[in-house]
Amino acid sequence: MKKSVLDYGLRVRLPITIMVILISYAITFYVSRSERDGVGYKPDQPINFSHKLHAGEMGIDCQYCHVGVEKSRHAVVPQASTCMNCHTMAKTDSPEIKKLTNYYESGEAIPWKRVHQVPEYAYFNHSAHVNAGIDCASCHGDIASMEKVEQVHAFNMANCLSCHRAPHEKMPYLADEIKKGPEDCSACHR
Amino acid sequence: MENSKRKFFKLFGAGAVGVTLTSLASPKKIIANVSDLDNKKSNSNLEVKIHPQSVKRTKKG
Amino acid sequence: MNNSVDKNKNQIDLPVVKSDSKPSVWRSLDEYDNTNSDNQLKVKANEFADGAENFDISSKSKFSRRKFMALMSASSAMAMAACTDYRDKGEIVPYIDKPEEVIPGIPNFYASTLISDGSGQGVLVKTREGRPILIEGNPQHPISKGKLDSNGIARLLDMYDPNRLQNPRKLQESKLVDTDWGTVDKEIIQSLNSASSSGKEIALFTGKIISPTFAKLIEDFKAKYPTTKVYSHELFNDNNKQEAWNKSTGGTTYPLIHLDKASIILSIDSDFLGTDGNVNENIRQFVVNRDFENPANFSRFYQVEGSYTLTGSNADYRLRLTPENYLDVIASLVNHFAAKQGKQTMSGFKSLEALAKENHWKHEAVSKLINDLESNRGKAIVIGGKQLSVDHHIAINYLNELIGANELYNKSESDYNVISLSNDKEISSLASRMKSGNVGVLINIDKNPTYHLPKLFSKENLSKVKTVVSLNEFENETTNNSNYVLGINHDIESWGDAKIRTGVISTQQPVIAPLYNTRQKEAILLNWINNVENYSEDVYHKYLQSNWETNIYPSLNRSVPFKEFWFATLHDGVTTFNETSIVPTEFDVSTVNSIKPTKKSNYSVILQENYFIRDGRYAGNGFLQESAHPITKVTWDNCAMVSPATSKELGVEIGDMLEVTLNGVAIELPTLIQPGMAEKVIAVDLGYGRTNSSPIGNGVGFDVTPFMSEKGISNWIYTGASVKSTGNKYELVSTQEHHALDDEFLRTQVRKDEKGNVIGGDETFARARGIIQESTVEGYLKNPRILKEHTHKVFSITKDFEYNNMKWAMSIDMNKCIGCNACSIACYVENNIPVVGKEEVGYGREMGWMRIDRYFAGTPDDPIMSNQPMLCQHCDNAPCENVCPVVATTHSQDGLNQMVYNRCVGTRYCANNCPYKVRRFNFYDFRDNLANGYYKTESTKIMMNPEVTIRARGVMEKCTFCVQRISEAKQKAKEEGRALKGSDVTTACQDACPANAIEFGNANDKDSRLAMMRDHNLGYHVLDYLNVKPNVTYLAKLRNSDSLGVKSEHH
Repeated sequence: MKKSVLDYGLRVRLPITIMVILISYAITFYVSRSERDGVGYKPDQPINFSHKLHAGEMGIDCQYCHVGVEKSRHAVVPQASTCMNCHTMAKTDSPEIKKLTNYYESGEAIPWKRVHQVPEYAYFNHSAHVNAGIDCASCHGDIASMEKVEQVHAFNMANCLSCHRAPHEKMPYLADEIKKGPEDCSACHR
Repeated sequence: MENSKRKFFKLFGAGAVGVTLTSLASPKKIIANVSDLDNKKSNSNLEVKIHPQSVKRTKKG
Repeated sequence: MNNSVDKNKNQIDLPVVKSDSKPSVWRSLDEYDNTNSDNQLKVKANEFADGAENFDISSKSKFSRRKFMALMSASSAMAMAACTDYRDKGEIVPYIDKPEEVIPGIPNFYASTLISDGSGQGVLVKTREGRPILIEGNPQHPISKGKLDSNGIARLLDMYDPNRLQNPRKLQESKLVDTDWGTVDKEIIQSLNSASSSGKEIALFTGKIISPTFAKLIEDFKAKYPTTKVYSHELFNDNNKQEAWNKSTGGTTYPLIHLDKASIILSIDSDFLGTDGNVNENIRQFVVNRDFENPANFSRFYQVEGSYTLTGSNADYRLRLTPENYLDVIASLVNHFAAKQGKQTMSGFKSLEALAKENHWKHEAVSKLINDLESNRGKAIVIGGKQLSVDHHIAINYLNELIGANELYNKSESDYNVISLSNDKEISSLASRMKSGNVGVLINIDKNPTYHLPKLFSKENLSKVKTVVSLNEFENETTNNSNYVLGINHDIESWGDAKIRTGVISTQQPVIAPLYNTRQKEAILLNWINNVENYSEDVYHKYLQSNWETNIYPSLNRSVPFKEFWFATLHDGVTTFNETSIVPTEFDVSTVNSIKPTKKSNYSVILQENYFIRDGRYAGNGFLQESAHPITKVTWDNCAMVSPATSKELGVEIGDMLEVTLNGVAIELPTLIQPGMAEKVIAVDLGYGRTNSSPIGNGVGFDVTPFMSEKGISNWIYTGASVKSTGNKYELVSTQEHHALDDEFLRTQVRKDEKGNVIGGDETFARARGIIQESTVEGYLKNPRILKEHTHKVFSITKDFEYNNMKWAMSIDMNKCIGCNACSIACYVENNIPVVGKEEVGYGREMGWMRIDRYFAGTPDDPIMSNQPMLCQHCDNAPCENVCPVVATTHSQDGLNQMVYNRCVGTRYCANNCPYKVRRFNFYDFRDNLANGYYKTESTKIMMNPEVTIRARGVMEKCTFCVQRISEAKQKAKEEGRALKGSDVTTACQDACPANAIEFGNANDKDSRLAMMRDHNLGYHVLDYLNVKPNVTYLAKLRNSDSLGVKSEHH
C-alpha cells in the first residue's frame, strides 16, 4: 500500500497534535488547581479560633478585629494583642487561650494557616471593595457560622470577573449603589 | 515497537516528567514568584524596628 | 548450536590446523594431543562463537531495564506531586503587638534631613510597615520646596547596601576584625586621654558641618580633650568665592541671588543648575522666567565655559572658551562699564570681540550681551563658578557692582555657615604635623581623606599617627589605613539638625532603628565625652533635644511649650523664624588692582564634579553609576572630554587612551569626543577610580585626584598640561550610540532663496522628523502658531475608542526641563528597577523606564544641545498592543497601556514594534546577574516598593504611568466617597522634577493644567505622523536667541 500524505497526517501528525493538546490541558489544569479548587480548603489552625463563637454568637463585627480593611489594600489577620484585649480576663483557663497567652508572652508570632490567597501577580484591594459596600460574606462566605474557616469561593479570575461584570445580580443587597467593577487588566495586574 | 512510536513516547514522557519536576522544584506560587522569598527563612538577621520617638506626618503635603 | 553460523558474516574463517607434529608450546593436553573438538577449535579461533552472536531482542522479555527505570521515575514523580496538599498556601503571620502607627498597606511619611552629604536637604521618607522605601523632598521645606536631587533619591540604596559596615572593627595583626563597642570605646578613650595629656593633637577630620548641635558637641569635645582641633574639608567647595567676597566687601559669606527676578544671566563657568550652590532652588528660580505662558518676559542666559556642562546646555548663548580666558571676558566687560561710569578699569586683558573671533562665537552674541547688560540694569547678574579662583570672583563682584546687580542680591536671607570649611593651608599643616608625629589621634568622621588628598593622607603619613579612627558607613581607602573602623548610622537612622540658611533650621529624625550594630557618629563622639557605661541608643537624641531647649527654642519666641514645639518641628521637619542677615555689598575697588591675566600654556585641565558620583562617595551606588552623565551619556566610567578639533589633532577617537601629564603627574584616560568644548581643554570628572568601595564601585573609572595641587589657576582648573595618545584602547559605555544613524543620508534638503542664500533645511533627522521641535522666543512671539504651520492632520481609517471618563495623559514642558535626570532615578527607586552593570549597558540593556535623550544641532564644534525625556507614550493606537501573541499588553479604559507581567512569555515583538524604544526586556534576572548577585540579598529585598511587581527573567516591562499610585488614589477617592480627579495622582517622575516640568492628569478635564498644555500651540507629539496617538505632549523649547543653531546659520 502506498503511503500518502493523508496517511502520514492521520497516523502520526493527528495523534501527536491531540496528545500535545491533551497533555497541555492536563498540566495547566493540575497546576492551577490550588486557585480553582481551593474551594473546601479547611486547614487546622495552631489555635482553634472559632468564628462561629466570636462573630456569630457574640456578634463581634468583622472590622473590630480585622482593622484597616476599609483603609488599606490588606485585610490582615489581627495582631495577638487584639485578642488579649479580652482574653487577659476572658476564659483564661481554656487550653486554647493558654496557647494564645503563651504566644503573646513569648513574643513569637502565631503562624496561622492561610486560607484565602489571591495569587501574587494580582493585587487585590480590600478597601475599594469594602468602601463600595460589599459585605465580607460575599467573597468569604458565611464566616459567622464556621467553626473552622474554609474557602467557599474559588479565587480565580473568572470568579472575580463574574462579579465585576454583573454586580447587581451577584449582590442584590446593593441594588443601585454599586456600579460595574473594572475589567481593565491594570486594575489587578500591575 | 516501531522506532517512531518509541521516539514519540520518549519525548513526551520526558517532557511530562520534566514539567512535573520543575513545578515541584519551585516554590508554591509557580508562575509569579521570582525572588525566592522563603517565608520562614527571610528577615532572619534583619529586624525592622520603628523608632518610637520619631514623629510621623499626619498627611503628606 | 545451530547451523546458521555460516550465514553470519562476522565469522572469520580461520584455517583450522590439524597437523601431525606435536607443538612445542601448548596450553592443554587436548591441544598437545590435537584432540580438540570442532567446536572447541571454532571457539579458539573466534572469540565470538556461535551462540554469542545470536542475540535477538524481540525474543527477550518485553520489560527491559530501560523501561523499568523510566516507569519507576515517572510514577514516583507523579506520586510526589500528589503527596502535598496542593491547596496549602503557607502561613499568614500577623504581629503580636502591632506598632500603632503602622497600618499594613498604608505608607507612613516622616520628615527628616540629609546631613551626611553636607547638603541639608529636607526630605520626606516613605515607609511601609516600618521599612523606608522611598526618599523624596519635603514640601514644607522653604529651600527645596519638596524637591530632592538625584543623590538624595539614590541615597536609599546606600542604606540597604550589602557592603555596609555592620559592626565596629579594629585592626589586629594588620587585619580588620569585628569587635564590640565596649572594647573600642574603652581603647579609644584611653588613646584620647593619653594624647590629650601628652600634648599631642587630636584631629577631627570632617566634611562640611551644617548641624548646630554637632558644632556644640564638638565644643564639648574640645573642652574634654583640650588638644582637639577641627578640620573640615570638602573636595568641592566654594572657599574661593567666600574669600573673594570677604576681600571685596568684608562680608563673611557671599549673598544669595534672586534668580527668579533676573532677566539676564551671565554665568562664567558656573554649573548652578547642576552642581553649584543649592541646585534645587536655583532650578526652581531659573525656570520662573522660562515660562511658555509668559514669553514676553523670557530671561536670556549666557554661559561661558570650557567644558560642556548641564547648565551650559540650557544656555541661550553658550560661549565656549578655554578657562585661561575667563578673566579676559570679565575684565573686558568691566572695562566697558567702568569706562562709562568713570571707574577703575583692568588693564592687560583681551577684548571680548577678539575672543569672539578666536572662538567662532555666534556673531551677534557679544553685542547682544553688552546690550542686554546695559538695558537690564538691576535685573542682570553675573554668576561665577565655585571652582574659579579668588581673583576671578573678585573681578565678577566688581562687574556685578558695575552693572547694578546689587538689586538682585537677597537682602533678607543668606547662606549660613555653622563652621567654615578649613582652607588648604590648614589641611596641609595638619598633614605635616601628622608626618612629624605630633598628632596623637586622628578621627575621620564620615570622610575619605586618603582618597581625596592622597599625598597628605597617604598610608605613610597615617601610620605616623598613633591612633587613626574612621567613622564611616562603608569601607573606603581611608579605613584601610585606620586602627579602628566604626560603622555608623545612615541619615535615615539618625537624629540631627541642620542649618544652611539664616532663619531656617531643619530637623533629622530616624525612621527606622539601626539595621545593624552601628551607632550614630555624633553619639559615638558624645560617648567619648561622657561615661562609657552610660551609653544608650537615645543619648544623642536627648542631647539634641536639650540643645534645642536651651539654646535654640528660647530665641524663637514661640507661644507653645517646648515639648509641643519639638514634636511639631519633628513633624514638619523644619522650623522657620526671623533672622536678619546683613550681607555687606560695598565693593572695595582696590582689590581689583592685583588681578593679572592668565596665560594659557599647552592644554588646560578642568576637574569637574560628577552630577551623580560627586566627590566619589557614591561610587558604590548602583543607581548612580548606571545613570548616564547628562552630557556625555557615559555610564560606569569617567573619561577625558575633548573637543572634536582637539581629538583630530591628537589623532584619537572615542575609547582611545590619552596620557595627560600635568605638573609631573601622568594619568591615562579614555577619550570622549564632546562637541562644543573649547579647543585644547581636557575635562574629566573627579570621584572615580575608587579602589576600596564595593564590588559595584571598585575599579570604575580613573582616579584623577593626583592632579590636584596648588599649582593651578584654582584647585580644579589647571593649565600647562601635555597630552598624547598612547595607542591603548578602552571601552566606554554610553547610552547614546556614538556611531548613530548615518545622518548624511537622513539630512533634509537645503532650502535656498532666490539669491541662492541658504535659508533653512539641512537638518538632522531629529529635527526633520519632528522629534525635537523648538522655536526662538522672537519667532514664537511673532507667530504663536509657528509650530503648527507645517503639520498636517493625521487621520485613521478605523473608529477610535472614546474615552469618556478618565484619560490619563502627561505633558512635559521642555522650557523647564533642565536634563538633570532626577526623574530617571526616582523611577528606578519607585518601580524596583534593577541595576544591570557596565557590560549589559554596553549591550543596550539598561532597564531605566524613563531616559533623557540628547540631541545636538549645528556643527560639531559649537552645537546646541536638546534634551528629551522619553518614556512610554501610552499610545491610543499602540503598535505594541497589536502584536503580542499572548495579549500581555492591553489598553485600559482610562488610557493606560497596561503591561501584564504574568502573561508575558518574552516574545519581544512589542519592543520591536515600539517606535520610541521604551520597552525594556529582562534578559537576565539582572539582580542575580550583576556582581554575583550583589543586589539580591536580604537587605536589598526589603528596599523594594511592595506595590510594584518585581519582574522575573523573560518578562517585558515599561513605564506604567505609576499605575500603583493611580490605584492608591482611586482607593482613596472611594474611601472618601468622591470622584477621582486627575490632580490626585502625581507620578514619581513628576514629584522628583525640580523644575516641575512634568504635568500628569486627566486629559478629559478641560480645566486642568494638563489639558491646557495638551492643546497648547507649542505642544507636539513625537513621531505623531505614525498615527500611534501618543499621550505624552512635549512643549517645544523656546530659545531666547536669534537662531536655533542650525548649520546654515553659522558664518
